Amino acid sequence: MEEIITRLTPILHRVFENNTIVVTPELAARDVENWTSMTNVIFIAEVENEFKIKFHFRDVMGLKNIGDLIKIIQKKIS
Amino acid sequence: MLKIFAKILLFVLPAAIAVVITGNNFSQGFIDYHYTKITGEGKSLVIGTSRASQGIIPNMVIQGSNYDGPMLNFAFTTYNSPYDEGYYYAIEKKLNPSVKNGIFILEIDPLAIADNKKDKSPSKLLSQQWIFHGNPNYEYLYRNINPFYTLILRNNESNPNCIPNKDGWLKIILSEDSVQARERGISKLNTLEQTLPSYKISPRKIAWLEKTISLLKQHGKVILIRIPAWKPIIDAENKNFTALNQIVLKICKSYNVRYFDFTPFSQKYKYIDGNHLDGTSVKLFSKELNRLILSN
Amino acid sequence: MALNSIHYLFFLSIVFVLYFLLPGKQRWKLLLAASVYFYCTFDVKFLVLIAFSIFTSFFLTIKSEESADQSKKKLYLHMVVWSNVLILCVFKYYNFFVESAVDLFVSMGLHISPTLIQIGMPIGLSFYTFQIIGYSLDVYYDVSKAERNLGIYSLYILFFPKLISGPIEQSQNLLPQLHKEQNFDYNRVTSGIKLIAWGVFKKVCIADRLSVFVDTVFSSPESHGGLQAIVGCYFLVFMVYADFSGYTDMAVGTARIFGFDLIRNFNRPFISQNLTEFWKRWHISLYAWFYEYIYNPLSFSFRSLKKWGIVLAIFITITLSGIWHGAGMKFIIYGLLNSLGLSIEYLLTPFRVKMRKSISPVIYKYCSIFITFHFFLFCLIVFESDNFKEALSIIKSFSKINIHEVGWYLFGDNKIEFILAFVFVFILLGMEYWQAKTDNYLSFHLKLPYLVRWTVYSAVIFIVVYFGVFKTSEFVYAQF
Repeated sequence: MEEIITRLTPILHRVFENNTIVVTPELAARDVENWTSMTNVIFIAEVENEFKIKFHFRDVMGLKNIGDLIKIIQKKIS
Repeated sequence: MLKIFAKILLFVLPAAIAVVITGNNFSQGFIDYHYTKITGEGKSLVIGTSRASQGIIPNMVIQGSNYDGPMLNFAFTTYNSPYDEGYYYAIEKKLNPSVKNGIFILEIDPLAIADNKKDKSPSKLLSQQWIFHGNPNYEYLYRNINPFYTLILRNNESNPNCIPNKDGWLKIILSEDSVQARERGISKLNTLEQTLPSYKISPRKIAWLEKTISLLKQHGKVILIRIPAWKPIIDAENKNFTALNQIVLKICKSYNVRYFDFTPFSQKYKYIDGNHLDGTSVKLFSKELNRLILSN
Repeated sequence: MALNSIHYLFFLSIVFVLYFLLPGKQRWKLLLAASVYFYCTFDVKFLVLIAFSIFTSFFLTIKSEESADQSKKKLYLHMVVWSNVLILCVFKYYNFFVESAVDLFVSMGLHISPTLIQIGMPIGLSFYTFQIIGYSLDVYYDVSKAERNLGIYSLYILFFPKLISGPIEQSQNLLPQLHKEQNFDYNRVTSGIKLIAWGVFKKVCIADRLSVFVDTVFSSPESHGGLQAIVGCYFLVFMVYADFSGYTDMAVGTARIFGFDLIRNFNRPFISQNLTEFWKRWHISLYAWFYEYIYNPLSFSFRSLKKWGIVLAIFITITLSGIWHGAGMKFIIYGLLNSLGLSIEYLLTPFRVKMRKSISPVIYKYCSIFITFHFFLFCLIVFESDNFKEALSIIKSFSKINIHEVGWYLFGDNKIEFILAFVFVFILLGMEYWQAKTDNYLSFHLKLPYLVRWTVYSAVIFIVVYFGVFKTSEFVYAQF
């Protein structure tokens, strides 16, 4: 999990244009200023690139926070 | 729950009072062409379209007769009072139920018993009105003056060209200069010649006419008349509605009423626009009707 | 049966009394019967069509949920979605497509005369088909469970307050509420009645009053002055707002009386500082639907295109939302204009952020509000005109003010109506400002002494009765 957080951090910094974001499983869109529905889509695309995985729409629909995202990533990697 | 309805009534009260006060104080001037017919009372009635509305002076017609008076001119226009559902129920509500010896003059205007392909629903003026008695008639005022506050702005003005009398007769004042009158007549004729062909005698309206006759026969005598107009216009109507007289005479036979067609005497009268009798002719014609009912 | 008619008043009173006389468990059945009756007052023949949509979507959605096979689930979903889309397209767009095709063929020298559909539009079609589609998608994506009670599901679709004008209810909001027994809560019921009265005020004192000034311009676009055009266009915005939000208030108020909370459809749209915010405050339920079921999946599908994927998703979604309003070139243009505005706004985000940081926040705020309002005004002028060219000529005429017009407004017969229009719009905006500060969504719990409250209620009723414009103008969105 730690490894995933480490790899996610630069993506969040880049997409949401904020180097001070601290990535934790509880982190959610409402906690980050630029995290809108639009930037979220770009964020998802970058996560897919980074981990070489492909999400289905169903996978991302119910994501509430980074923790949920990490679970999905782990599932996809294995 | 009752509390809610009670409260609503309480809150509506000031508005209702305002409507009543405004109606009381501002409805004596000119409202529209129809208001005096709605508020007027009559044991005998004139029924028909604008030719009857403008062409028959009720108290001249009933003068010296034994029929129940007063007489009210309850004719409106071809649009508002053809023989249909709306007019029938309006007449029924208008009727004084105690009348047994009234005289009822029903005007036969071909357009009052014909339809074209368009909308067959009755005009809203009469069909949506519930109450036909009382002066002021708050319902009529509220339905037809909109927004309601504008009643105050009318300021009891009167319309110089149109004087609705208390007996329902609509006195129209147009220049009776014969040249202008003739021009208006020609223009009316042209319009008619274009629109008449799309009209056919309507079985639906004939049925309502018959119902109206049945209803009124219970309260007195019923007479059918056809009011004269400028000869070219009458000719145009006759040309389009060839079966008119035949149909009317058949109705007369079924209901045992008499029909008096004045159109062969069109030349006796003058018209302000080809369609409606002028001031002098209205008096002449009303006297003629009076003679008619006295001798029948 | 229009919501602002005497007929509806009687209907509602009777249903209201019966509703609370019935035992709790039976109440929803009364609402269903009332809703069917309500539908029939518009056009009985289309009852068959809506019944078809209700039955098929009910059974197919259950089958979709119960099916273990993913491809079968998808099949049932597609059947529901596309059957409803087909019905919508046939009744709403068939004639437009055929006429456009005919025009195209004529321009190529071919003459054809196909039959057009003369049957009319089922009432509420655009609203209920969307609700059905949204529901089936919610079940497919496990956002909601399929409704197992056909009666409750029918009520969910037919519920008369929202049937002809929305809001477009999402399953997670209304369906669970329909299962609950609603008790008689005096405050809730009176709040609903107040909201209905407020809606009537908006429709009858504001919308129908302003429509006279608006019609002067839009029904004869060649023959009006510049000042009339300006007044007509600015009044247009408030007219549409008062008309639609007034009708929504009547719908929400009615539902509230019976114990149900419908989605709010408007949330002070004129304070929006950008278009993205505007479309979250105007006709909220429609744009929420498009956002949820069209934009989200599309932007996800186009995610590899990054920024341009989002722009593409915006264009498709918002243009479709324009087309939802009607079959005609001007609705497509309306959609395209809004897409253009939203896309440009999105692409200029870095620039806008910079501007916001560099100039005074107050200036930034009011300039943003000003620009957003006027962009929407422009789109609405296109929406209201017969075509795009006409819209442009109306705007061009703004500069041709002549002095007679000033007299017409300030001294002529219209001066009182003109003043009343201003006063009432001012009251509307003032009330919304005040309610936003004190309460949630116009529950009108005025914390004032009871005599003052009673005076206010009487005053609103008095204004409606005395100054209300009761023309036979139909509610603008009823044609959808």
